[in-house]
Amino acid sequence: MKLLLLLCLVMGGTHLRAKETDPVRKLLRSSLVRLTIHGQSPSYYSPWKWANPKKRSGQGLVVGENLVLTLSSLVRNSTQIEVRLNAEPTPRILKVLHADLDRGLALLQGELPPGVEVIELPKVSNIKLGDKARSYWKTDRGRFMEGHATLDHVDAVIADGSYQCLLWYEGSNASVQGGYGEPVFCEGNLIGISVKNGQGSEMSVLPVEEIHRRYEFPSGRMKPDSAMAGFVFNPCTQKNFRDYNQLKDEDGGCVVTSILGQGSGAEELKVGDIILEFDGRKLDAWGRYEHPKFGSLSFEHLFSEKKLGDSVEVTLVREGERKTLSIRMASISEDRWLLPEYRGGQPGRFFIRGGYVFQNLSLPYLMAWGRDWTTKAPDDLLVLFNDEKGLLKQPEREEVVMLGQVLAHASNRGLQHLGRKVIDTINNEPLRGLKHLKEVLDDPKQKRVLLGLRPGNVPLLLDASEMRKVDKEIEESYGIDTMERL
Amino acid sequence: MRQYLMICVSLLGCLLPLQGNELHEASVVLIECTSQRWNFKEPWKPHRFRKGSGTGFVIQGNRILTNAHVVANARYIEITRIGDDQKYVALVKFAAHDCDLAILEVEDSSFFEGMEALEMAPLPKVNSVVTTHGFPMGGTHLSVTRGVVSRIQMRGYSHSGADSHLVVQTDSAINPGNSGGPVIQDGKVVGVAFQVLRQADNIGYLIPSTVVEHVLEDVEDGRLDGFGEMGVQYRYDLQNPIIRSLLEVPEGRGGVLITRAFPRMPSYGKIQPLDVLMSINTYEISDDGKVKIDGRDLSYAEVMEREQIGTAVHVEVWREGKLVKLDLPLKEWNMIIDHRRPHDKIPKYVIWGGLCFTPLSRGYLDELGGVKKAPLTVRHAYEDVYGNEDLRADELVVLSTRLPHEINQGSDKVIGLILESVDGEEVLSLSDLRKKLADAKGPYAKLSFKGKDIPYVMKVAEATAKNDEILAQYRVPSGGRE
Repeated sequence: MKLLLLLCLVMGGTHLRAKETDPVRKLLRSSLVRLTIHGQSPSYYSPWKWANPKKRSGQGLVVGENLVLTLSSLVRNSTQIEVRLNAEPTPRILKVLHADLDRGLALLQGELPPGVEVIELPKVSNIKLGDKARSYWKTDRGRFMEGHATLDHVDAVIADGSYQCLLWYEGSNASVQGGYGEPVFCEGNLIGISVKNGQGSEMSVLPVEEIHRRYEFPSGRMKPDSAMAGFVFNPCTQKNFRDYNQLKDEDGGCVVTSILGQGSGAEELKVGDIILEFDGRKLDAWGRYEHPKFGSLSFEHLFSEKKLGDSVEVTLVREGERKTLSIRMASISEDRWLLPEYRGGQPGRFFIRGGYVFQNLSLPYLMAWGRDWTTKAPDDLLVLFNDEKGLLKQPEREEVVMLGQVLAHASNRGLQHLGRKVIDTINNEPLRGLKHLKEVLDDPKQKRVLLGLRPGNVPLLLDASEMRKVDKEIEESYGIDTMERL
Repeated sequence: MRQYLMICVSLLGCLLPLQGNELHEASVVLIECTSQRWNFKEPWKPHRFRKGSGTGFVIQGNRILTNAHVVANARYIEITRIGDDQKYVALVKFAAHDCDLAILEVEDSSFFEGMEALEMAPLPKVNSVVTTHGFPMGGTHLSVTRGVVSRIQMRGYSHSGADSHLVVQTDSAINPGNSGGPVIQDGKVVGVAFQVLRQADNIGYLIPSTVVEHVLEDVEDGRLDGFGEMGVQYRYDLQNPIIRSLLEVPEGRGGVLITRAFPRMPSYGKIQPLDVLMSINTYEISDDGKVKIDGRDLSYAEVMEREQIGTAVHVEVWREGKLVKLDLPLKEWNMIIDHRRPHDKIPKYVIWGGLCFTPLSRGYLDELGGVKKAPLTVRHAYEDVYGNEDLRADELVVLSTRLPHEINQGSDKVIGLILESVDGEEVLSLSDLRKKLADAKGPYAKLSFKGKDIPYVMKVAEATAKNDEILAQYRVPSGGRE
C-alpha cells in the first residue's frame, strides 16, 4: 500500500513537471478531445428490439475545421456523441461524418469553439524500431495522461471487422494498452493513433500514412477505396505438398486456400495456386517478403497501397506449372455479400407476419450466441455460413431467409417451437429473399403457402390470409413498435 | 429434457442391511463385473479396466436377466447368490444395449438349484406400490425399497444414448448397484431398475415388462435383432385448426404431420411429407402423437415397440384429401454413423504412413469429449446423416490421430476431419479406404478432407515402406483391424 502511494506521488510529480515542459502536451492542449459516446446496438435474435443504451469514451483529434478524427469502433451504433472543451459546462454534440471500417477510422463533425487548434497530421511517420512511443489521452476531467511503449516490431494485420490488411506499429512493455484513439508520438512527432489489438502489454498504432490514404486534411475529403485481397492464403510448409508441386525450399511461396466472390485476385486466382512473387517481391512459404525497413512482413498489406484498377504481376505455380499473371486490384463491398456481416452495427432485416418472425441470416445473428458462438450456434446455420461465406448476392438469391422464431398466438398453436430454420423454398420454388416471401404472403390471392425448411426441405404449411388477420393483435400484445425492416 | 442428466445406476459400494423376506428374493443375485472398453481415438488399444457391480434375477430357462450396462464390455463376470459364499462365473449370452438389457448364463448348472424363475407381469397401474430389489452401493445383502409407480412414458435410455423406449417412473429409491434388479408387484416382475434422473428428487426408472418381453421373444431364434421403426420425422401441426382446415382433415380424425421420410428406412418412398399419419395397427393417433393402449395414452411409437423387426405395421395416412393404407415392415435404424455408445464393440482402423483412420462413430466422438468438441464439418455430418439422400458411403471415415513422423509432417491440420476422397475417388468405407491405399500407384496420394479445399499429399512409396517402422516406434501392435 505504501509502495503504491509512493508510486502515485512519483508519477504525479512527473505529470506536473511534464505538463509545464512537454511541447506535445502544449500541442494537444486543445486539439485532443475526450469523447463520450452513447450507443445502442440492435438485437439480432429479436430484430425488432434494441439493447439497453451504453456509454463509452475515447479520444479524438481535431484534424480540420469542426472535424474530429477517432476510431470507427468507438462510434459504432452511436446515438449521441458528446465532447466537452475548455471546461465548457455544456457538452457539444458531434455527428459521424464518415466511418471507414477497413482502417478503423471515423471522422466526426460538429461546431467546435473558436480557438481550438487544428493538428496537422504528418504525411510520414518515419519511425525506427526500438524508438520510444508515447500515447496521450484526456480523462473525463480534462486531465492529461501519458503512456509509454517501445516500438519493437511492425505487423501486417487484418483488424476485426476489416477486409483490409494494414501495417501497424507494435509496441511492447506498454504502460497502458490504450486502443481508444489516443495519439501516439515518437520523439515529439505524431506517428499515428492507438488501436485495439487485444494484447495485454502491447500497444498497437495505426500509422499516419494509413490515415492519409483515406482522408485529405484539413478538408476531411475522402479518397477512393484501396485494393483488398479477394482470396485467403495459408503457409505452404508441408514437405510432401511442396515436393508434389516441385517446389524447392528456397522457392518459398504460399498457397491460396479459398477465393472470395470479390476483391483483388478473385477472378484470376484459383484454389491451390502457390504464389511465389507479388509485385516483384519474392514471398517465403508463409507469404512474407523482406521489407527494407521493417523486415519480414506479410505481403497482404501491399494491397492497401494499390489503387483500384491497377494491375499487379503475380508469379505462381498452378498445377505444377509456373505462370505469371496480371491481377486487377479491386476492393470489397460489404453490400454485395450474400451473408451480411453488418460491420457498422446495422440492424438485421425482418418482418413479422402471423407471429412468425422471418429474418435474414447474418454474421452478428450467429455471434449473438456469445464468445463460443462457433460451437454454440446451431450447426446447420454455422455450416451454411462456412460454406457460403464469400458468396455474392444474386438476383435469384439475395439473402438467406430464416424463420427466426414464432411469437405465440392462438393462430400459430402447435408450431410455436419452430425457430432458427433456414427457408429454402416457397411453393416449391427457390426463395429469393425476404421481399419475395413478403410479396407472396401479401398477395390477396394466396391462401395456402408451402415453405421448405432446411435441412431436408421439411414442409411448413401456412395460411397467408389467416396470418394477415392477427398482425395487429400480435403487434399490440408483444409491444412491437415496428413489424418490419426491409 | 437435456438439462437433466440420466445416469445408469450400476457400481461401487459399501454395505447396506438386508430387508424383506419373500420367496422371490432368493432369485435375486449380485453381479460383479470387470470390464474394459476400447479407445476409439487410438483404436489399437483398450482403456484401463474397471470393476463394478449390479443386480440380476433368474428368469425362465436358467438364465439371468440384468442391465446391459452392468455387464457392458465385460472381461470377467462373477455371480453371488444370497446366503451363498460361492462365486459363480457367468457369461453374457445376449446384450441388448439399445434397451439396456442383458441375458447371462452360468456355466455351473448347480447354481440354479433351489432358485425359481421370476415371472413378468403386465404394465403396473400408476400410483400402485412396487418394491425394488437389489444391491445398492454393493454389499452382499439384499436391499428392498418401496415406492409407487409415478408415471409411464417414452424416454431416452442413457446407456445407448440414442434410443427411446417405454419407461416406468417410480419414487422407490434406486441407487448405484440397483441396476438390473427386479421391481416387483404381487410377486411378479413389473420392471427392471436401470436409471435415475440426476438433479431431481426420487425420480428413478424401470425398464417395463413390455420391453423385457420384446427382448425375450426376439432372442427365441438365437439371435438378437433389436427394435424396428418406420423412419419418419413428424410434427404436431394438426393441433392447429388452421392447418387442419388447409389439409382438409375430416372432423373427428387426427394424427401427426409427416415432415420427412428417411432414406434407407421402410417409409422412404411410401410416406410423403405433408401426409397425416392417422392410425397404426388400428390404433387411432391423436394430434399430439398418442395412441390409447389398454387405457393408457402412450406415444404411437409404442405400437411399433411391441412388434419385432420385419413385422409389417399397417398405417393409414391422409394424403391430399384421401385416406391411403400402407403396410410398412419395420427395420432397425440404418446407422451409417453409429449414434449409440459403442458397448462390446472393437473399433476398426487402418494406419497408413502413420495416419490412423477410423469410422466416424459415437465412440470416436465420446473420446473427444462429445460431438460438440468435433470440428464443424464432422458435427454437421453426424447430425445430418439420417436425412442425407445423396450419401453413397457405407461409413464416414475420419483421420483420428497421427503418429508423428517426418513423412506425415503437416497433417495435424487435418486430424479429426472426414476423409472424402483419395486421388479424387470417394471413400465409401474403411475397407474401401484400405483397398484404395493399397492400390495407390503414386508417386503421390492426394487425400481430400471435408471442409479443406487443398488435399493433403502423401508420398505413396514412403507411406507404405515406413509404416511398420512407425508402428514399432509408437509400439502399435497392428496396422489395422477390420
